[in-house]
Amino acid sequence: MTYFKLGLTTVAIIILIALPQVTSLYFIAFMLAIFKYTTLSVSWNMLSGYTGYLSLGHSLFFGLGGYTFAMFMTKSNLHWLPSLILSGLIVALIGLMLGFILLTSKIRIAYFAMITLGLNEVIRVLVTNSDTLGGGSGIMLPPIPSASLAYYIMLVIVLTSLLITYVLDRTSMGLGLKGILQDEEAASATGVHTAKLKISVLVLSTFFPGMMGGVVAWNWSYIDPIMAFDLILSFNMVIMATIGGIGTLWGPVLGACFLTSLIELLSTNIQHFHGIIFGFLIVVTILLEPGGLIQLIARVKSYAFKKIKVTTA
Amino acid sequence: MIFIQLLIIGIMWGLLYALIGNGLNIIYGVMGILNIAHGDLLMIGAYLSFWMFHLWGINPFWALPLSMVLLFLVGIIIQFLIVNPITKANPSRVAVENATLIAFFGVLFLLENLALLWFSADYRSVSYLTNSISLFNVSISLNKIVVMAVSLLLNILLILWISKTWTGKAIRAITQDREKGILIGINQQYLGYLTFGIGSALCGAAGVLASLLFVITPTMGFPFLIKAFTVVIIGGMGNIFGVFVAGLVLGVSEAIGGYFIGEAYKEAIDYIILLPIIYLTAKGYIFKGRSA
Repeated sequence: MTYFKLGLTTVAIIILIALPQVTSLYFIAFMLAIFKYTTLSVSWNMLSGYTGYLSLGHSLFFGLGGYTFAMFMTKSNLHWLPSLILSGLIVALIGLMLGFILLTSKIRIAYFAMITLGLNEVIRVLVTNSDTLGGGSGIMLPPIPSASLAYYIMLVIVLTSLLITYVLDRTSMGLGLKGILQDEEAASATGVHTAKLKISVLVLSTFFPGMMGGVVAWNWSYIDPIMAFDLILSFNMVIMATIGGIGTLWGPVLGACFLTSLIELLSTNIQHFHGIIFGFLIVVTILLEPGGLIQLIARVKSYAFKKIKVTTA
Repeated sequence: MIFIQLLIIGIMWGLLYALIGNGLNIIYGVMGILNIAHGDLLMIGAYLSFWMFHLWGINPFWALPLSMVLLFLVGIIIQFLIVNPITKANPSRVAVENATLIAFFGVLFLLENLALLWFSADYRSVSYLTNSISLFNVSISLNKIVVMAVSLLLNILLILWISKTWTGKAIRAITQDREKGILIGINQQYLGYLTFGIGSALCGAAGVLASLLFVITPTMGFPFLIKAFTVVIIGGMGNIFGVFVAGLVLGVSEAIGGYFIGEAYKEAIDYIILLPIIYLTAKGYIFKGRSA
């Protein structure tokens, strides 16, 4: 079974690598959107899915990454690769500071959600009023050499974030995180270093959005506060991860692919309609199948094969 | 003179924030739910006021009780459809808090996008009683006085209800300790319906009042949600009078701070107030009795 999975993964990666050589530009753009949302919801899930600390302003890190990368590209003559990695690291450093401020002790989920939501807005207001960062009109970046370059960079980021989540999922660190989700005091009493775990997972979950923000800004070739610190983006992360399956490895991926396709299908026909469907879907998911699509698939599978045991996330 | 003018404007907004915040407060206190769609209930109230005024010529004085009744019903429906199933399915309090937060986030998305689809993103406003009067050299428009009076009245009624009646006592008890409250025979189910209904009704009233002062758009609710939350944290969960005072403090500091620091940073002021307070509360340096 493991060999089968390994083979399947290899084939999938080869197909993903070969894809931009054979498909149209439209399809590449669609894949870029999928990669963007997958990375974002996977990294959101690392923090919020595993520990239960709901971050409602995760696009903060996306926007900060975009701005950092834009500053590197316009103000210094650094090569794009080190500046991309550096912008990811700088955002992770900001995540670390935030972790030291917020997560060293137990804090209510509602408080954490509102603080992250609020921070995103504060930073947006500050950036909009800052002249060095271009104010409301934003920064122009040199255009990206080719669309397939963006594709490959994003692919690497997606795969790395998935790999990190896989490691999280399968090691004692993941167990500790799930312990925090279920009962933080009990986890702490049994010897899980909760503060250290929470902060390190926050750092991980800010690093990837930071890098992704850089690539996306480069691909758009400009960045402004409204699209960088977009609330809809941070809401979409929550929605995709929830509908796919919170706290699982493949849930956010599934949710991101499904909902990005839905956006692509619906937004061309009726505006705002996908938002209504998203809102409806998320309420229905929480009410009927809190484990998301992943659990639904497991349930259908176990029903089809007449297994008694339902695998829970 | 400009100072007194700012003070009056600040007090007016403060009373409105206190009204919204107290709605959020009793819901959070009784059920442990952060109703993140609270601002969108306010948006519905504002649109009700707008449509009633423009389609049927109902003036906002009548729209106020109508919208309160309608939103009371909306609150009860939300409690029935969303909160009750979740509290039944999840035994632990943290799980309920987490699940309802996401579910209400879905409600927020749903309501906002429905409003965008039906009402479009156009800016609308209700212009009613806009002529201004001047008292002791301070000129203030009549609708601001109306807003101030109505929200003061509703706040006082709420404070009296919570502090003087048995139902209010039960709400305070269950806010302080849920398990013991249930143990001594408080019906949490009933209180849940009641507080959600009344919280939403207050939001409807605040929406009608906000429609007199503010442009009405589908996304207008969001800043009000943030302000309500700030006020609840500063004033203290379950402390109705504390939230009332915190609302005034926030409103006045926003008006005066906005004047001196600049209008552009006005949105950031509540966070600049909120973030250190949450931090200090979480660490236990201030407000010792409340757990963050």
